Amino acid sequence: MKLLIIEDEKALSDAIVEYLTSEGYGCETALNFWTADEKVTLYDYDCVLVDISLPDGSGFEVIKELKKRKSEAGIIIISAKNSLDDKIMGLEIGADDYMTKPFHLSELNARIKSIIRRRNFSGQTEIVANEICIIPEEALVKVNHQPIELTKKEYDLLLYLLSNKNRVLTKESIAEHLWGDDMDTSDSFDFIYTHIKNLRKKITEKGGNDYLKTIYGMGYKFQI
Amino acid sequence: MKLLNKTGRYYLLGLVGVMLVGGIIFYFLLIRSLNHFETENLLNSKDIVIEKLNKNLSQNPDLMVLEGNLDILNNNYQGKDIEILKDTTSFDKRENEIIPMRMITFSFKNQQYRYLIRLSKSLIERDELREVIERFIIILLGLFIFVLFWLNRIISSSVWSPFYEILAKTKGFKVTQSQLLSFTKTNISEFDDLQNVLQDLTFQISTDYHALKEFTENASHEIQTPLAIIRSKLENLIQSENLQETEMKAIQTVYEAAGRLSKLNQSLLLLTKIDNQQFIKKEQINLSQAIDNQVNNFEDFILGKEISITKDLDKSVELEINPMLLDILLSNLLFNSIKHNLKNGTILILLTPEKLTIQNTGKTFENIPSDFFERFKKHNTESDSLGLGLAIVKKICETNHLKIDYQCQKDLHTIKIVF
Repeated sequence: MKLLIIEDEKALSDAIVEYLTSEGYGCETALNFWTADEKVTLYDYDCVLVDISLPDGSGFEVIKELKKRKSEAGIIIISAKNSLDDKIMGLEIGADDYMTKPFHLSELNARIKSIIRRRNFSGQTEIVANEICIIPEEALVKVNHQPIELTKKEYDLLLYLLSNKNRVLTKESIAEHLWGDDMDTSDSFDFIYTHIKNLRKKITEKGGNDYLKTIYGMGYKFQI
Repeated sequence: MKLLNKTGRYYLLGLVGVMLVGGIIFYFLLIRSLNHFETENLLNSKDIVIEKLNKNLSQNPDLMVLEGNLDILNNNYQGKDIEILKDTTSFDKRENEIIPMRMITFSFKNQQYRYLIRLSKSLIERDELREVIERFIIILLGLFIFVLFWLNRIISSSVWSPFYEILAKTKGFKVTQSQLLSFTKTNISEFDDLQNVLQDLTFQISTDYHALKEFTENASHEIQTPLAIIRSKLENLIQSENLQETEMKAIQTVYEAAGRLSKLNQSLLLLTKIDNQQFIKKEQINLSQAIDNQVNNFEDFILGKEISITKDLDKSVELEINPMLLDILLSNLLFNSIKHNLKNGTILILLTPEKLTIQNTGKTFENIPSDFFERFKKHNTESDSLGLGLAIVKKICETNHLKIDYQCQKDLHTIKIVF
């Protein structure tokens, strides 16, 4: 999987690359519009992250160029502006998702995976972790080939954890993933714990292992 | 009061004054010259009588005078020579009224007789004259008022029309829209000056507004990017296997602080954006559906606190509002009603075509409930919430012309939004 990260802030770009490389992606970066433009014309990527405001051009132009070249790449806009107009504009010209800075890397990772999964029609769309298998198209979870009943939030949580397996997910990022950006997150930590507890119970009931680790004070981890 | 009515009123007052004073002066001047004229007349008559008496030497000659009455009081007058001119009155039996008279009594001697003669003349014209003048002034005044009124209308529709046009255009000016004011030349220097001043002023306001808006957005952008760096670096850091617990705790604290800062920044930016009316696009939204969505989103919290929720929603109620703002409004209100609720508490949501009521159980507090609409006002200072939720709610209500009211009776908190 090849990704292109178009972001003018080097420190942020580095952090994204670090996280995504350890997820097994091949990451290339572009720190300005011209490099970005050059790279999208020369190479094919599976997913492109685009910052809208670049010092020497607009990220929108990069997206238009990608679309002109009939690129199959998934496109995620990462913007500092939480502007509805920008969002609508971005999605209209063909971006798949829109994220507002500052975002959680785990959230970014989950969204990249979701986009790649959706694009990958021919290949494997199931997410498998040993005896646990998620079929996103049907929102179905199987443990040892037996389906388990999950609530919407439990399902979202498991999918999020599995998309970032072997990674510490902070409580904040989980809360925002489950209840939205506007949440005053600190109130929701207890409920995350309840969901984790329920998930653990439902998986082990069907003979699954307990992969859900609590990282004290920080968050949770799906360790495999 | 309209400017023209105001000036018209002063004109009218001045006019009435001038007419009154003028009328009075006119009357007295006229009376004076009339007086003079009547006296002349009487003296003339006297000369004629004397002339006639000199020619006609009878005892009681038949004398004719042009005006007034002539009485020969005595043709054998023995007294001193006199000539007395005076004003008096006589009673007119026919008209049954007292008539003012002017009278000259004089003695005269021709070759045979010595006469005492009285010539008198009615001054009745003086009263009539006054009446005529009064009537004339009233008619004149009426005419002036009519003309003034008529002129005012003409002036207001023609001369003042550019002014009203300027006013209408200025009223339509909205700082949020980049449309600048433009006027057509009027050829009246005052109005042209006004237009220029308004054009310059609105241009300045518009430029300042956009500069400020841009600054706020840029500032937030500049803050969000370093925050994004801090958070992503920390997220990478916590993946490390060999962190001590103390290090983990420190990272945790920094991470949380960065998160709070980012939320704070976003909330303030949201308030500014609502203030700047940047959420212009409105849609007709079914409220009961929107409320149900929010309740579903917070289901975990409601279940977790074992809150019993009662909904009585009129399914047909719609509101024209920006969808994003409605979501923020409802989620803030609902989340507050859950967050500040008691364990095993209740929430009641009532929706009628007139208003939305959200009532929940909670702690009793001393503060005036409406204080919480202010920024950074918190019930509990130790609370880690930002204290901006209700300020945002209020701002959304204000910009959408909704009335919001917060009341607290013992442990029951009620928020009403009247459409």
